[in-house]
Amino acid sequence: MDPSVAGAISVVSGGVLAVLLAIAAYIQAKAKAIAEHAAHHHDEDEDEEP
Amino acid sequence: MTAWFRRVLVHSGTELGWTFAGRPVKPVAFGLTLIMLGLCAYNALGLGAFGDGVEAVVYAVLSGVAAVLLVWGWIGRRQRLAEWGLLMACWVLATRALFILMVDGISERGVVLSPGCAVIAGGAYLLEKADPLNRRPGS
Repeated sequence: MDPSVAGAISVVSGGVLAVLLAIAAYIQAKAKAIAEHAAHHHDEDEDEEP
Repeated sequence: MTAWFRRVLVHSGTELGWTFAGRPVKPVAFGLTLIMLGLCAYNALGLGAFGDGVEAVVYAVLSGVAAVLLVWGWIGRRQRLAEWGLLMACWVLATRALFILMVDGISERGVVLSPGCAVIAGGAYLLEKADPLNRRPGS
């Protein structure tokens, strides 16, 4: 394959991979925050019980 | 003694607990910085896998920016910059792997090394993002 074409394709593909990785990290952080929030509320509910 | 023990031995998932110049020692990020600096220098001189065309210059700039982000993030204690540096290192290494695969084929040595390093960089990025101790205010 022509090196200039391969260079363009590889840079774009590597960038897409990096964006997917960043999205995965974002989703992971959001899921973790939701789980921590739910656990916090669960603890508060337990404290209120007589 | 207890404070020392906590500081040195009780650490987060991405830190050894060792410090140098008041900053956490992170061997993976340091190794990736060396790789980025090497790739930047070789491609800027036209001695890298990308030859001596414009793609080599673009690649040298990308790897140089990744190295600057990693160094700046560590020296300036900027966690976000270091994370961007790791992500960019993953991009740079994945690009190199794909380029070698397309131009030279599966028999080239570099096609084995670059994907492995890209996985290391991507994994380090995910670990840094997931580490709760790195989510400090202002970082």
